[in-house]
Amino acid sequence: MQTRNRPPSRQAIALLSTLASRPAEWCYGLELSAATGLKSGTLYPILIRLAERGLLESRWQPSEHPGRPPRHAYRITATGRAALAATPAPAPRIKEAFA
Amino acid sequence: MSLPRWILRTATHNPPAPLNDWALAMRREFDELQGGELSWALGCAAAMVFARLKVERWFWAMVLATPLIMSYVTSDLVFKGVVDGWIPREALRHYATLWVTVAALGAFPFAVLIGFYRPARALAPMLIGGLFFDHVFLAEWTSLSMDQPYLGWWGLNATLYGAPPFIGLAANLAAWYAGARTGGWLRVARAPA
Repeated sequence: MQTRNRPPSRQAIALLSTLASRPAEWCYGLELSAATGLKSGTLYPILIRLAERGLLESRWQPSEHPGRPPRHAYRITATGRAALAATPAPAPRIKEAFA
Repeated sequence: MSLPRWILRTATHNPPAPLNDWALAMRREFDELQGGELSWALGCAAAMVFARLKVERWFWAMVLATPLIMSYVTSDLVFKGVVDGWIPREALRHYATLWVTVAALGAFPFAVLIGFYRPARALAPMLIGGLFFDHVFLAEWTSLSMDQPYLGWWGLNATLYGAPPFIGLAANLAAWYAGARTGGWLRVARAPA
């Protein structure tokens, strides 16, 4: 799949920051949704895009609940950490700037 | 099956290869939800639609453009066929022969091409091609060839290819489906073992 090298969006930065705060842990989609406040319709396109760019890696992990099938889990890569470090802090939202 | 689960199942059904893991990931997370199933399922459905469009953009462009291109090609062929005499004018007055003519010159070969391009994707060409083509083609056919307003086609005495609309539509969808399946079969048969 082709990818364009657009700068990461505010939501993508939030997601990368969440993953970077737990660099050794594998996080599930629901955990990331809860931590970032992103709904599934925003979360998955970002996860797909970041995985395509090699900024995060994914693997199937056994579920914590016995008898349940494995779940897809995500972890930030070294490239992801470098990309996050190179990303300037996002400008405040208009609402926040005038608050 | 609950509505949210049905939405998610439908949206993640038969995904293109690069999205296999993502479709399964969405389903597995759905199984772990403790509430908000509908909004999660709708979000996943929207994400899958856009991801599919991105991954298979040429396929979808082809599916959407084909009925438009086809309506002109088929109209021209039918018109020339009648003028040149290789399609008997009388054939266009009967449901079966009209449908066979239109299917042979339009739906079937175009669906074969799409099926050949993307095997195992017969449903989308059938629904989009079949339904859309009927509207584009019949709108043109009724207004230009039969000098009737398109909407006049509908009503109690409406017909599709000279048959009751349900039969005409089913026949057209069948031609699309058979074409797409044939194209897929040709592609698989042609692939090296």
